[in-house]
Amino acid sequence: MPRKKNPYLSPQDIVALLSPQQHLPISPSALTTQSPSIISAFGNSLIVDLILEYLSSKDIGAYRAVCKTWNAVAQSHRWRSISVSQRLYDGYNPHVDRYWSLPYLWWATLNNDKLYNRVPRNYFGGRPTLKSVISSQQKELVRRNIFQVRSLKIDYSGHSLLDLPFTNLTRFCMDCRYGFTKYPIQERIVTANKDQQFKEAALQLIAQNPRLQDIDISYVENLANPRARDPSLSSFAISVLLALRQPHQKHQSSSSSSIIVSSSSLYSLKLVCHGAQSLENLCSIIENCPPSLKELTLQSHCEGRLSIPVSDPVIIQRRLESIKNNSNSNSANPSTNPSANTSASRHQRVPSLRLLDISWIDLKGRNELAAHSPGFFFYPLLSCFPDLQELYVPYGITHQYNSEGRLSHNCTDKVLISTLALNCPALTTINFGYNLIAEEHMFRFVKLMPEALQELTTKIEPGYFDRVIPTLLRRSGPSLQVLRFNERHFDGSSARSTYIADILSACPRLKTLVVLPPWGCHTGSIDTNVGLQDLLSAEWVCSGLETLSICIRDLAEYEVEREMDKDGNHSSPSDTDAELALYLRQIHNVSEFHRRLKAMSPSLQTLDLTWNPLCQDISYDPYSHDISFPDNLRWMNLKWFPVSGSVKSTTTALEVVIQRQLEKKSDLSLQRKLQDSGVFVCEIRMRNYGGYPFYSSWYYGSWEDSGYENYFYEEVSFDDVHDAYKSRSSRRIHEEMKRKK
Amino acid sequence: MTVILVSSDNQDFKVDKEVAERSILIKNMLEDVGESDSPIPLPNVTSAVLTKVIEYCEHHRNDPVQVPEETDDPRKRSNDIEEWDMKFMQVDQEMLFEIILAANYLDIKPLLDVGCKTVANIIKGKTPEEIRKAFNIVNDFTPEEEAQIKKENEWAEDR
Repeated sequence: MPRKKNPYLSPQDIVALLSPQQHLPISPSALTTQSPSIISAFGNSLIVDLILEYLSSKDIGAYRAVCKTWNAVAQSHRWRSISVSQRLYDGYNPHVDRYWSLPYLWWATLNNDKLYNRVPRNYFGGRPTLKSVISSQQKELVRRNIFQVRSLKIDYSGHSLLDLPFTNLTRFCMDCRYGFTKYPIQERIVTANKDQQFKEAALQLIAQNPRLQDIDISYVENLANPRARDPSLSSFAISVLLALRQPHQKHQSSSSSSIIVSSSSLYSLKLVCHGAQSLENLCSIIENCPPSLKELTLQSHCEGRLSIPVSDPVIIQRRLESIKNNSNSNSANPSTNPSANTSASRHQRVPSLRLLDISWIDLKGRNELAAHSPGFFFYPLLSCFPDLQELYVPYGITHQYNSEGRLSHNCTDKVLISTLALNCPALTTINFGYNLIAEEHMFRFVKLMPEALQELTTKIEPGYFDRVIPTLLRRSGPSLQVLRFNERHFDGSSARSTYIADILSACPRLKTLVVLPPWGCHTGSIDTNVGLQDLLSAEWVCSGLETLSICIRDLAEYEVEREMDKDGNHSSPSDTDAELALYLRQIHNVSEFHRRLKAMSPSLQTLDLTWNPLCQDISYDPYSHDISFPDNLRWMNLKWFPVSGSVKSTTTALEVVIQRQLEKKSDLSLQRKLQDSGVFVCEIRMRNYGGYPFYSSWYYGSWEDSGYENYFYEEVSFDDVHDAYKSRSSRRIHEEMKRKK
Repeated sequence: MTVILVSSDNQDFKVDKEVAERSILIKNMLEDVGESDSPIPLPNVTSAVLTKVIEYCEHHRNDPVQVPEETDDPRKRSNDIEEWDMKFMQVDQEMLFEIILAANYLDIKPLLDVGCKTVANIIKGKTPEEIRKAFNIVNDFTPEEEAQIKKENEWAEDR
């Protein structure tokens, strides 16, 4: 370990503070010397600790790999979080079934809001195994650093870590669904016994970590028979909640009359259950939540159709009422409790939640919620949490199963909106999920909600453009941070719309904008009505944009007359001229779009653009453009072909257009290019194999000291486009180094 | 009541006591010394940096003293910087780090926090090479050491 530097003053400090030139921005010539203030700031463990607190463990990994000093100072953060998984679910929301993938799940919050990630990758990949990925050596390392571990995220492959004496955890994530829904029940990889052992180990771990703030567990309720609903089995969710109280109760027999005070500081609880949950169970879970809880997510689903044993409405109503009374007595007088209640759990204060997500509870009517009218359970439940800020509206609240078991719209969106306006005065974030709200009610919603919205996730239809979106932007524009839309009932015939541009120019705080086009974008036909020209027509104000995920229909449109004037070319307009004009405007728009994205969004982290195939595969002239032009295109997920590579021969006038451009630069050729650079990467292409894309990187090069006739190419394939780019840039660096030698 | 702060390059800054006391270092010093007109030397802070720091303290002069709220989301977030602070921090890198060092020296916790959040935001999502480029740092690892760290990082989760 290096000696810690004096946090207040070091020799570099003095140099830094005395240097007269320190306030000048770093000039290119000064780039070789590092500024003393940066050295001393990053050498100060006090400051570095503060910075690292704000970084994810992945970022800390990158931080440590920067240089020796940084690694040494960040050493103590190395074990902050441990994550062991077989990475079967890479790129997807692990809490969501592949089984029910795309059309159902567009609204589920994904790790990074990428549209592409919704398409199954590695679908034919590995089958989950129980082989532990932890060696005994690694386990020993973890054991030695156990007090530094604050976050533990494992799946069944990391189960051997569960018996370590963690006590400092603030976050615990476990996925023990064993890839369950992907494989038939008979092929499951663990026995019910083994599963029970994992669960018990997890409960033990929860009990011995009183500082837990975050719990996120995916599990199978009853592995022996997932479809069965045995009321005699107590639900695992309840066991988790009881385990949370453990630290306080250790030496105290739990009599039903004593008031149980939970010492838990749990903030967020997420339970994703494979198996049916009854409404009664839901009530019990809420009754048993620790009072500190602010965020509650309960999702359950199961395969196959269940006959729904309906709970007694009277009992449910009574329990909901008592929950509500409890939550009301929170603010009035915590000590007074309805004396009529005998169950121990009634003594618990009901938490005042700020986030409620029971969005999956009634998936496809396999649970009770969908069998009842929402007025029976969901609306009364909402009235228990007056502080609610974030709400995920369950699937099917606006739909109902009729007697034949078919889904029909039940026109309850009117009631839903009124209930929200009445019961959720603090609501700022709402996810309507699968529900499509009728235009008039959505209009009421954006108009009526007492608070300006910060996040909105909803399906939209063309009818929204007249009133809903303008009102939303006028009322909530300044506060909106996240917008996720799924376009419904759009088709190519709908009028072009500039609503995305309106959003970009009306929401200065916007961080995430995701617009999923009507289903079918992955198959190539995009029915969105947003053109690049529309996007560029407005001034963007969202300078803090982090995620942009949209689909674009075209780069530019034919505008024959205007373009002719611009060119000053008044000769008889021909197809070729129009093509050229279009081509130039396409190039211009793409460059401008790139410039805007770069300039307006310094914080942009996720850029996920889907282009209509018409925007792709355009030939461009690599010599008349900036050297970084192709890179910029790729960054924007556009694939164009350099004209001197393997040009896709087009018989359109475009070829003529390209030819014209080429003539200007006739002295440059592929040969020269090859001699200059040795090897260059021609293209990263997305290929489709059985509907699942992979990426291939093509390298072209010439053999050393030989002419260009001897050029070769090789193709390397990647599952992930980022890997392809990574490999490409490292290849480029490698070749350059070789050439220099 | 005003106090006089003297920067390392011997410039005097006349500041309201209330503003100066945003710095715990100065506050403690004033409490120790009592009523006094003598200027306070700050040999670690140049006038350019001190101007910025005073600008920050002026703007935040009425802020309540930070109390860690228990009900708040315990997960630390770096994207909740106030708009004014964000603008305030839009300075060149040299200045940013000097402000951080000065905030550390003067013990102005909220300013230090904002500075560190800003730096964290620069680092976020970058590869080691990009970070080196951003801060102009030389990679002094051997390939073996680099591989070792890469291996260790395999357990770091994506969050």
